[in-house]
Amino acid sequence: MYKKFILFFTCILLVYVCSAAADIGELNASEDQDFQGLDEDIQVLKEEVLELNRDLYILEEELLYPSSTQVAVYVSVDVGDFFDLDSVQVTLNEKIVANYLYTEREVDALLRGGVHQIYIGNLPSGEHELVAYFVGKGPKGRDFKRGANRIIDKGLGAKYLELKITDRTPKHQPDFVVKEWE
Amino acid sequence: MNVFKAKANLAFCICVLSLCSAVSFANIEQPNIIKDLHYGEVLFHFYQEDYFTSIVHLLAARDLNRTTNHVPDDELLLGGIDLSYGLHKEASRIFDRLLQGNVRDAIKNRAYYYLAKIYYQRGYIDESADFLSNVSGPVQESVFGELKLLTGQVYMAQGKYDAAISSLDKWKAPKNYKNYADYNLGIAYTKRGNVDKGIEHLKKVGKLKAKTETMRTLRDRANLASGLTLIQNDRPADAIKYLEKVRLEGLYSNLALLGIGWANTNAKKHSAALAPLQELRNRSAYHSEVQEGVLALAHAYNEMGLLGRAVQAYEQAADIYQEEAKELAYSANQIEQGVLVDALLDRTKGGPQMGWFWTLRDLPELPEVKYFTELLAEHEFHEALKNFRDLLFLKKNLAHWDENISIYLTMLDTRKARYHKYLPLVQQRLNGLDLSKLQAQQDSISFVLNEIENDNAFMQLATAEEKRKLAEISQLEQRLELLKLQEPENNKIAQMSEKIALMRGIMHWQIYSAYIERSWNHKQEVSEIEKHLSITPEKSVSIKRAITESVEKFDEFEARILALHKEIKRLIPIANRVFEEQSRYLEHVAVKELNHREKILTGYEKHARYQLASAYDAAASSTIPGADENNPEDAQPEKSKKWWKLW
Repeated sequence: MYKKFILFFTCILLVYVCSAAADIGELNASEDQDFQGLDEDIQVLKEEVLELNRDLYILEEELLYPSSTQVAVYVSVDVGDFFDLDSVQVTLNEKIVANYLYTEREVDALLRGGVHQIYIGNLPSGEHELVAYFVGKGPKGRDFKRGANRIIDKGLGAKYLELKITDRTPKHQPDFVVKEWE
Repeated sequence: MNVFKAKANLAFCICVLSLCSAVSFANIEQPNIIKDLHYGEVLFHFYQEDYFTSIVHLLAARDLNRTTNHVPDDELLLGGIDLSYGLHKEASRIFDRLLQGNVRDAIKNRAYYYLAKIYYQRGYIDESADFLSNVSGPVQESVFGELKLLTGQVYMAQGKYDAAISSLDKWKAPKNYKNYADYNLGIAYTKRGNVDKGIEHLKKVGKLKAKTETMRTLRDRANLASGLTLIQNDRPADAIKYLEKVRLEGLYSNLALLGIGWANTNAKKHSAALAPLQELRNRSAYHSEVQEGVLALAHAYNEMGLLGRAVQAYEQAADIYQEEAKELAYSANQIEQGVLVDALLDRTKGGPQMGWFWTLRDLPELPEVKYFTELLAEHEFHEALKNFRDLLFLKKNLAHWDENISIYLTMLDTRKARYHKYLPLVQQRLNGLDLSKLQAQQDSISFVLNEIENDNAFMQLATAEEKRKLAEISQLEQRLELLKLQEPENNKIAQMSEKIALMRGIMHWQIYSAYIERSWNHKQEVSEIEKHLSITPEKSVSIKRAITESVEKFDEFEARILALHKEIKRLIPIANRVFEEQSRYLEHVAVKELNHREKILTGYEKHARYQLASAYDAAASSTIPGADENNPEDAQPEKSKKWWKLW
């Protein structure tokens, strides 16, 4: 009785499922044709909009931050065992130019090697003072705030600065360094 | 093989296949040492899965030669992000191009890996295997784990379970890959026929202390795979132990409940099958497991000889199917009327969801679109919705630029106006610039300063105020001298003269004390002047060049802005058209799926009604049905009472 029921149940079910699937298959084959080429159109459009945004990004940078006056400041984290980053404040010539609070997702991206552009602006050539404050949790989860400063000599080309947070393993302390890039 | 076994087999395949999507390209670590800041900046966005921004920034950085220290990694990265953004054709072109170039083995291996992944995801298993076979020599550590997993999956997809086992069993997988490796190994062993060995590996994953939802889902999947495998191998009692470990609220709970029901049915423990099947009956009838569960419940009653309950359950099942089929038809109709697209557009107006970070998991429930959550679980609908989201973002991006690009023209006009305003003044200053005269002045100042230093002529560096005071003192001295001549015996005049002499001495002392600092300051100033004078020729040349180039630059910027605006205008109608088509496609996929479910339900309903008729016949040919049913829960609802009256 049980086996008979199962067999019967299987047959009935398969018949219905197959017939339904066949009906739908026929229906879909014709309807799906209407959307042929849509994936291709989407890919082409995405590429074109990306290229457009690339050109706009370059244009914007050249217009707003010409290389002769451009100064960009980046934040990077190396290892991060002794410091959990919360926020960074950047001052240029005693004026606060950036104040950034990091999300968990952003800190994760930094720990994996990502570099965050925290500030981009313009400065005339000559000497300028950059001061950065790092706020977070230090060793043993204590509140931690440290500063790093550097006198930068802005020449005729763009100036890139990296605020590096590294671990000083022998002292079990984090280290904060301002590095100049050419 | 019974229905459930067929279903278990299908679910079993899904369990194997779905694992590969657990790891995205954003999880693959890129080179740790950042040699170009702009490359690192791209990674910052990439690791946050902000693919649009990372591609734009990488394209710009490559155009501006800002990633030269990461060649050809930058191209490989671009291919990887393209893939993540759904640009598989462009990604393929990039990897093909890379492989044709003269690049080191590690880069080639990563390119082969990415290509294998693209082809595997698109269902071209043999081509994927070909790409994997080209991998040789060193493989980057972070890619190695992914490569091993993919190799195992490709072997399994080809039915080469021995090869998959050999590949995975020898691998000492690092911590973050261990569970995936064990899972795949377990599947490979069971598919190969070595069930106990397979279960041994799946058991490890099934026991893991999961801290994240991903790991909890993997644990459920492992227990489900163990349970289904054991049902297939006629070991229902063992299967139940594993199926019971699957969370009741997880992705696989429906299948697990149905599995427990059928395992008990297979073991002829029909009463034990009731609880999981009743729990299943209370869930959304959209899911095929629930639909099947309702029938299985009726069947269990039937097998237990509880004909009254069986009839009631078949009646309920038929009613549920009928009702649900009506709901499905209504929902499909609503979607065809545009309710789905309207609701999605409404939910994504403004707010953070408007941007790139609008992820499908953030999407709120849409009460106006029934079965929306269920539809999201369907691969085709999910992919269609992702493209819908991307196109919506592109549309908004184009609209934003269309509205804002004119700001750049305004900015350019302001600059032009400033340029024309200050040009005469700048030219006048440049024309009046006599460098030799300035140099002579600076030489003269230097000479004087040296003279003062040599002669120790500190009085030369007195301030104007000090000089004024000294002049006053001199005047007072002269007047006192005159008074002295008139009144030589006057003591007061003599005292005054002493005071004035003291004041002169103090002034001299002050000036002398400040001399060293003043001298140093003057020298510093002269040095500054020297520095400025030395760069003045270069600066004046650069200013003259800027004056001539500015007009050209203004024209160039204007031409670029106008060309880009034209491009934006060209793309907007295309984006609108493609978005409209995608919206229709999204609706089509949803309606297709709902219609498909409706047809299946109609079939189920017919079957339930047939079983109901059979039960009536069986009852008619036996004694009073359900006479021995002493379960207190067996109260007959209104519909079933009608059936009782027939007897």
